Amino acid sequence: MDYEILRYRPEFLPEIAALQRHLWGHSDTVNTAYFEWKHVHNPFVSEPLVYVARHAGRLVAMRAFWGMLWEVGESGEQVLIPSAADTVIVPEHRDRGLFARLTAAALADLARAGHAYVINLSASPATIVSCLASGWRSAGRLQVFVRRSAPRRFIRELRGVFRQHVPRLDRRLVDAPQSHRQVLDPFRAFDAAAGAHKDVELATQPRPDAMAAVAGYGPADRLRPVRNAQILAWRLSNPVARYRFVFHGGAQPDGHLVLHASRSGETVCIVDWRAANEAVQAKLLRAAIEAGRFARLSIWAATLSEQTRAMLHDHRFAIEVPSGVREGDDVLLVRATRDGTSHDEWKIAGLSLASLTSWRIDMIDSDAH
Amino acid sequence: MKTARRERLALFLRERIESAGKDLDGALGSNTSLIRSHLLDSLGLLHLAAWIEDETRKPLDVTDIDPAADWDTIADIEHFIDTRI
Repeated sequence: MDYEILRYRPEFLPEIAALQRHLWGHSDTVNTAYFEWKHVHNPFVSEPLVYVARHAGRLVAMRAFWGMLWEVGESGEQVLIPSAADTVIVPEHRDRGLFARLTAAALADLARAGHAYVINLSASPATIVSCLASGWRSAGRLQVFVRRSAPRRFIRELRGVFRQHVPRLDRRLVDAPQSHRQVLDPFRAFDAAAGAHKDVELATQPRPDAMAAVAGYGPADRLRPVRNAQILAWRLSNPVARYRFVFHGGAQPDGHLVLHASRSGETVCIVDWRAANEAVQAKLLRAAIEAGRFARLSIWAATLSEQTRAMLHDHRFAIEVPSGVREGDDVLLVRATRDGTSHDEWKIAGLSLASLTSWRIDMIDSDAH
Repeated sequence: MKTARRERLALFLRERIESAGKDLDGALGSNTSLIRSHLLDSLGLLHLAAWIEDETRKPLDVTDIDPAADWDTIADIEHFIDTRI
């Protein structure tokens, strides 16, 4: 089939909103708002890094990269690393080599624009495998640590027993959520608890200035996301995300924890968690757990400090390893935009991009959250 | 046993490739390139990964595979299953 690969132009937006019904959701209005927030108003790029495939006069596929700014070292050397996202191919054009063609065209264009590397923090199972087959490297698992509420753990164990004996029935019998109301509104308990904690504030709105002032956005010897009030204000205005906030320290907070609910409402994630010291960090975590009473609370732990990981263990978080490729995996994928170099040579400020030990990454750095 | 597995793998691959509308142009040999020749697309690769998991009854560690090197031919896939899983 003949495909034309094109860089985004504003007149494509209505068609992109319709195309993204396959990935984002059914509302073109919401899809448009999400696209504009993510790609048009992205503070790191002057124009969207979005590529589409056209066939017979209509858009049939899209692959995008959203701007992400990272810094490293005491001096804060900054580098823009586009992050792959939003891959969609309409069903009748799948299995036709479009993913590879779109990616190759995008990488060539990004290389011409001076971007040496790209990453992916939200790859689907199919994307992971095909990326690995086309020059990307996995820097490693981001390690999902999960804390399940006690009834949820019981249901999980029960599910295992059912699967052994009545595999077809188990879904109907034990996959039902423990509380429909809590799943529909995963922050129901959290919101009801506002004002109940004397040490912390439970909030529905971010405080970007105060959050940017909190120290500890990652050690200087790692690649870490650039954070300031403007970036946080934009990042937390994602029109399709549901966030909640825990602040410690009153008017001048010395720590915050940001929660994000998945679209289904079944999982709540700690997407950002910063504090001036370990005691404040622990108070934030305890408050989020006690107030939220979440059925499933998760966090990426791979690049956290040993002390923080130990704190998570103490609060009954445990690592969750996927059961296979169909389930997908949370990994950091890295690639040079130009071919011909070994992944050993992919470095910024001497740090190897193909090693997770070079990074400080939280869920908020992924467009999936 | 290995012959039977090779036949199952060849049958699975042929079905995947043909369902994607691609012409195999003859036999699917042990050394026919699947990935570098673009016979397998992204979805085809995912299905192949799932096939390997089903065949071996063991989950793959996606952080430790290089499909272009490990799965480009039937011979490569067999070697991968025999030595890495």
